[in-house]
Amino acid sequence: MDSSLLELLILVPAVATALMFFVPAKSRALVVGLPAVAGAACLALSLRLFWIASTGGEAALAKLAPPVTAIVPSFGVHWALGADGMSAVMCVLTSIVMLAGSLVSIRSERTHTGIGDRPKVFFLLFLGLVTGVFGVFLFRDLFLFYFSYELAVVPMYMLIGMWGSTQATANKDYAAMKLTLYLTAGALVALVGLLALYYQAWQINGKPSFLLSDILAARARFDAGFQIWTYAFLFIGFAAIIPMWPLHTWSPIGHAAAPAAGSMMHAGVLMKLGAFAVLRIAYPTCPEGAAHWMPYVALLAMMNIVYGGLVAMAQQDMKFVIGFSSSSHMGYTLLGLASVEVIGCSGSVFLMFAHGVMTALAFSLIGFFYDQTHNRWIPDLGGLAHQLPFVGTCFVFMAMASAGVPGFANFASEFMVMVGAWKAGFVWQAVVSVFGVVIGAVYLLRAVRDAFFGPRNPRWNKLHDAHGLQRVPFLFMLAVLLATGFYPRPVTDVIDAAVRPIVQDVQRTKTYREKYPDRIELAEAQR
Amino acid sequence: MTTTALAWTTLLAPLVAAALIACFTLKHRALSAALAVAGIGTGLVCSVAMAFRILGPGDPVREMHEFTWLASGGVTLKFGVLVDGLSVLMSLVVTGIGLCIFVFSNGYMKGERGWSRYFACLSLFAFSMLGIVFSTNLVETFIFWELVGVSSYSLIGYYFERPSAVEASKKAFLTNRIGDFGMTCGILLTFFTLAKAGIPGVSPSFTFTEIAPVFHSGVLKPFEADLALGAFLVFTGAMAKSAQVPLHVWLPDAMEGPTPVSALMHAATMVAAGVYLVCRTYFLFAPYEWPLHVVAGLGGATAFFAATMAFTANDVKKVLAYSTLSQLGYMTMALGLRSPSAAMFHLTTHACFKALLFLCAGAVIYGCHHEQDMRRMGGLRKKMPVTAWCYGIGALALAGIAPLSGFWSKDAILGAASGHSKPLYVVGLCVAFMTACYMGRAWWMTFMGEYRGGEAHAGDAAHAHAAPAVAHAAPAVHASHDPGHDAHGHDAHGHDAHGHDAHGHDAHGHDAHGHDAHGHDAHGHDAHGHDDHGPHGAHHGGEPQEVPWVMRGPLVVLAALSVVAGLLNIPAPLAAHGAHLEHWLMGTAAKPGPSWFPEAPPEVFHWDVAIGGTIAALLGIFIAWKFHGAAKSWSVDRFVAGIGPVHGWVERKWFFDDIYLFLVKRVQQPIADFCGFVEKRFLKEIVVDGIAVVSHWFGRQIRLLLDGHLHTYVTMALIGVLYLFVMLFATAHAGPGR
Amino acid sequence: MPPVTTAHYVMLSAILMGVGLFGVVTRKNAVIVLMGLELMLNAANLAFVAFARHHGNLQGHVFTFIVIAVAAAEAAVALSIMIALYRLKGSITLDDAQELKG
Repeated sequence: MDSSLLELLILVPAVATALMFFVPAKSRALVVGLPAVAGAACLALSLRLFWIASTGGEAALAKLAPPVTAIVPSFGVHWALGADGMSAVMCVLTSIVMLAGSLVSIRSERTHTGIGDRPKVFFLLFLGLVTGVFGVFLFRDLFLFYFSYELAVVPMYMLIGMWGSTQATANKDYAAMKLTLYLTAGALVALVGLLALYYQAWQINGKPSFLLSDILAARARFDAGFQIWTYAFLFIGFAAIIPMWPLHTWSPIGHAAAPAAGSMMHAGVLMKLGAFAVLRIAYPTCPEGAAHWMPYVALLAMMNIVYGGLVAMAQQDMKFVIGFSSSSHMGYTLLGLASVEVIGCSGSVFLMFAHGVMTALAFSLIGFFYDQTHNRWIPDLGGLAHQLPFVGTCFVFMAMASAGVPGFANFASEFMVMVGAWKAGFVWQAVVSVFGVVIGAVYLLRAVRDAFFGPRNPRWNKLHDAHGLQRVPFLFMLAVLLATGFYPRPVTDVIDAAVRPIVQDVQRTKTYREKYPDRIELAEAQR
Repeated sequence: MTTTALAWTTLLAPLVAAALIACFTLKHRALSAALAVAGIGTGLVCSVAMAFRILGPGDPVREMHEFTWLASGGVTLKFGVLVDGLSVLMSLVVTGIGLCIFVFSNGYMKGERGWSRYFACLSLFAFSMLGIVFSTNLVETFIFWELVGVSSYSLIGYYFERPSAVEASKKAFLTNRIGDFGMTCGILLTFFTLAKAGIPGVSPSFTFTEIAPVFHSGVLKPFEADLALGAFLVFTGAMAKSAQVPLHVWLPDAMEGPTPVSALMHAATMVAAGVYLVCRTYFLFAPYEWPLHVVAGLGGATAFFAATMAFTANDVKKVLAYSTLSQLGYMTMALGLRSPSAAMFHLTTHACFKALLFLCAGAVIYGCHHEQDMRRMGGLRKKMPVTAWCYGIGALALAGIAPLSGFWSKDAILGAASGHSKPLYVVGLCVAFMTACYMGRAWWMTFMGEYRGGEAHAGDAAHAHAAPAVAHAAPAVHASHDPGHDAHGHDAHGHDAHGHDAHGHDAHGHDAHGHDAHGHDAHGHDAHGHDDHGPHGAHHGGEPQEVPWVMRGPLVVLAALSVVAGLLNIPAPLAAHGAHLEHWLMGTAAKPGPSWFPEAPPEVFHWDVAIGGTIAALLGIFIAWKFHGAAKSWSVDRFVAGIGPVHGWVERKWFFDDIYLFLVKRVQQPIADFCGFVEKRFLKEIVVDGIAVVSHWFGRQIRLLLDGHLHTYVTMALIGVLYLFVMLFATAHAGPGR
Repeated sequence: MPPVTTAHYVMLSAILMGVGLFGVVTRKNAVIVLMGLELMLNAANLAFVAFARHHGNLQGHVFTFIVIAVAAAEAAVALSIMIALYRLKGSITLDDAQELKG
């Protein structure tokens, strides 16, 4: 099975999508069961992948790659799959969110605000999106990579547009249009960069090929100017989905308008595609560009962290609070990337994982009570912990994770980012990012206080708490956060092994050595 | 079992207890309590076992076990246990006092709805605190540092239905976060300064045992500025946790938590973590001057200001809270005066008698049916004799009356002050005087004289629902005080009363007990299941009465400890072998102890300091007796009038809360709102939607071309084709190569 | 009489194309426009066949047959649209059908 592990990871969601066409729309058990089963299967496969990464290291992962076959030889499109520690961790994240997202939707299907309307189409799009996400993480061919990237982005338009919120503050039509415009425009900018790489490599290699390995083979003859400008296109394109300030305005409203499973997928996984793509494509192909631009990105990351946090502080809608907090947290991911340090970039990837699970948990919890209250306006809530003790407890845990409390993966990853930034010499950026944690605590504790604590509010007396199987997805995500937070080393070792060669490539460039003449070198401790 | 295995057991037993409670026994009260007590009890047994191995007259022993928690890019974060004199002493304090308080909670929390949650959080706290104690490195310390903050948050906000408690828990968490911000920066600055220094043979590390020797070798001279700043930043963490001015504001509010929590966390152990941290990382501070000056100055200021605030408190817990603040200031002052052993000594004795005092206060509150206002107590000595005796011992120990433990530790600090800094010595004496005085006031108000609470409780059913009014309809003493000041706690109770109604908890059936709605309801927590009161129930709304043995036991044990804890460190001329505790902490020049601070002169008993301190304390007690004793020969009102505006300043807590409120409401929130405004109005509506509007406008213009006439389209297509033809001919004839 | 050369066929085809185009562009009646279109298609057919003859191969004939088939289908679709249009509007004047106005 190991030999076709990567193909299975792509095929399972793809086949599930295809099967979904034939599932009778009336059979709710099948409609919800199929994505859940597919999610469980993907989780099993991803965990196997992670296990191989964990025990065998990068060498074992390299052996998993199936033989490269040309699909369209005249253009150089190849069926090429490959995984490293980074993609292994990201696949696990996607599977977790996929499974949890379909499990929480079992419940919301019964109410009329969730996805009660046309659940079959919902899950069809959901599975299509997941297929695209797995494609982004696993394809090593720029054409298929880009194809998957778009495949992951476009269904979101319909998920929000058809099942989204109709509240005035988060109008679904506006949100869906904005999200799609930003992401496709970003993708187009990135496409310019990708095509530049393709043609440059074509000229150098003498044959057209979208294969990442072919482009990397030609990289030695990319001159610094080409790398710098191509990197700019790639980075700005991918930064739109990260989302980097000031390209972030699509994201909070996108979260707010989407249905619970949609927000989970969107904030949990989709936003991670950008940073992943930067590390997978932009860093290795244009290391000079990475070294050139990253100090400026560190400044923007600071903006993300502080500005996002402050705006979150001014919000009254629960989903907007979490939405802006996401853009604040993704600032840490950006800062980690910008540090061009192994620990910083590893921290970024780990944070993508941690934040993905945490934010999926947040949106599933909000979705749970929103389905019943039809209200997320924080001043209207209050005292929910009386009626929803379990959900309230989970929410407090989630807030703690988000606020960067140790014991959750978020702390470890954010700490790695801070260390990385400081090590890179971005002392002030690091200090600001540390202060961002204080800001985070302010708005999260406020949200917890105003929504869950305080005297019992009789208005919400009819609410019922999660019970029995409904608790499973919440506990599952919480357990993941706690387990990886208590002992992060298994995960960080896998990420570190994947990230290190990429980052060291950049550190060897001329631009980097000129920019950081007195960088602190730390001897690798024996592991 | 190896020593480190014992430490691991001590550390993990409470965590296991917390996890088991959270996962399995949320519904089983007895099991939850048993698990929690078993967890901390295991810790205590292991700590005692470690003490026998580590603490002794010989050279300091240090044992360590570490594993890699996270490693990436040359930075390794480790986890482990470091067992030496300092950590064993502290773990004895935490587990010993913790056990007493866990047991006491079994009585105090009887009938509370969140019983299992309480014990789970308490166990989580014990785990986090022990993590700080046994931590081997700065990052591990920081991790547990944050975790105690979380457990503190969860326990201060235990009565989450009470807005004031929720607010207090948030305040505590955020204030500590500010300190943690500084601490993180300090840790990173120290680490990377060491890395930059690139001393051969020393790899930069967070581990104490690895970096401490470097600091003493003097090779870091060129990096002095950064390292001193790093030390100060690490201290900001301690400043928040140990509630030093100006980050002290959270501690008085933290009294919203249940009283045993206040005793354990906000008096005995957690707030002392800052002092412990500085002792543990003393090597960071020792080589530099200004950070220690700041430490000493802030400590002295805290000690003084907090002591003044204790005079205006009327809540039986608030007095102790301010006293805790003041004593923490004392310890911090000792740290700044290069006397970490005196600070640790005072930490230990203070933990005993302050936990005792808080538990006594808890017993009083319990005995008086959740009355907290001292003005409505009095005469409790006769009704609660054991509690009164214990409180008396605690108060005398706190006041520093020989030969109780407080005397010895306070004397050590005063001795250090007299040697290093005369102004701080004077501050120390003033604080000693004030401490004795406000404790005397609390003693006379609570335990002596006549019981003043009865009349307020004699009301009828209407009383129960008029709780806030009751709180404000204060006895005569109140008149001279600012009514807003103490109302805080009582408002909270008022909320309970409302909550109570809303919950429909009447089903608990007061009628079943055969007594009508009584004052108790107004003050009691809604969760206070009346059925569980047992024999106690018979006295509802009536006379205060002595607490059950499960609560009295811990009081007696702690009282005994408060008496004898001074024996740990009797200084040289009085004891044959000199000060033990100092020896454990300081070690010798050749083999430095856990604080890596070998240059300290040995602690010596100074008669002049001892006599000065004792006179100050006795004077304080005398004055308290004059004001509040049976005779009441001096009038508080006249005194208040005499000192003019100062009384107002003290009542306003020296304006610290007002300043913070101003910063939050007038600075922080406007900035946030401004960012929200920029996001919504500028970025979204002008920039982003502006681009959309402009493209929409262009779209509208271009749309005009498509008028719906087929002929227009065909004509346009024709023009296009003609254009292509023209271009084709033009390039065919003018192109290169032709 | 001079022989009929390819140039003549192409000339005729161009004239047919011009006439058809003129009809399409100027006429308001949908049927006449359709007739113009048919003329243009046949002009193309004529050119195809003429060039096939000129080159002596069959490729032009192949295209011609395809065009005839497409033209038949197109006429069928167009006429049915016109009937629908007539039912809807009561006339087949193209100026009445402006629903696609931007």
